[in-house]
Amino acid sequence: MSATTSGLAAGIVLGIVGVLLAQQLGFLGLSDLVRALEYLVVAAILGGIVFAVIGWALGRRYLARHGGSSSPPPSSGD
Amino acid sequence: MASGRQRTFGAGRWVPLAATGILALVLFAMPAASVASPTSSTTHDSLAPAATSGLYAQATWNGANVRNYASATSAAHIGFNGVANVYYNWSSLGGVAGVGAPSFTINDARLQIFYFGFSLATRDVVNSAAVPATTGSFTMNWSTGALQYLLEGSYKLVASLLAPNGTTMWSQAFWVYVAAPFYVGAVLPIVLILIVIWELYNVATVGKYAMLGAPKSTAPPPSGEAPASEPPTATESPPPSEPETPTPPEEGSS
Repeated sequence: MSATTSGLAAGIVLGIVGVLLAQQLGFLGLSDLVRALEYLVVAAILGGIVFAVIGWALGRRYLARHGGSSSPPPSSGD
Repeated sequence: MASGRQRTFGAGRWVPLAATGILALVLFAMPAASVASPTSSTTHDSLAPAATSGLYAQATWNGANVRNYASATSAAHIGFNGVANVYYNWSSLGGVAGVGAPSFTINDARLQIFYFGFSLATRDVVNSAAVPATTGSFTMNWSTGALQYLLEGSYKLVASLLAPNGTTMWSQAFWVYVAAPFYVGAVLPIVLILIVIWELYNVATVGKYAMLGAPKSTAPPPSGEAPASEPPTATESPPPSEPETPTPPEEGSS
């Protein structure tokens, strides 16, 4: 699972959980089924897109800092 | 090492996904029994006092008309372990000076709390000896019950009056904010906050897993020498042989 895919999955979960949490804190009403599903789907899509971009950016930054090598770093004696 | 981390990471990623799925199933499966309720399909979005076939009715929440709580932003408030007094009052319209007004038999005052379109809980006040009349009233002391340990937030409630055959004679929707101890002291918000923390931690550490997808052959050698995979040319000297280890002298030679 790449960093982008990981960010996508996390964003979908965060979008859904964010809507449910907003309702629990009194900012949203989820008593109507259609409206609630609209909130959940839109939040999941937006969260997935945003966090996929964040995951991609974090992956790029990590590769740039650490050289993109998966081999172990050389020892000091080499 | 990398594959092991990938396996661990992959398994860990499914934990919040599975938790969210189970949560959604619980939320949808818990009120499933109420789908068959005859009142679930009634039109309860009308905010005007209903005058169905000459019936006028209204409900009050702690003395205030529930029409004042028509939206989630103007919801009534009920605290933890709080009890609200819901008063139903209905009367018959028509006739002349009260003479000739139609009579109604209302034997059930109902209050339902809705979540995702389904009824989470239903409370009834039943008058088993109801007779046709032109006026009537019901009093209900309503509390969230065990739901206060599970949920909080804004919910739509529907107050309705039913005839003995189950027909909804009048209904009206309004909103109530159910509070929890310490503001987030219910089970569901605590679980949701834990999932948010877990997911944000995963996003913050997602960069290191980009290494798993990086190609190994593109990695430059750390000391600047030629890659080890490059074949040796003919001009190069053969690699030095390993120094032979001196054999220890045989015993007794000295």
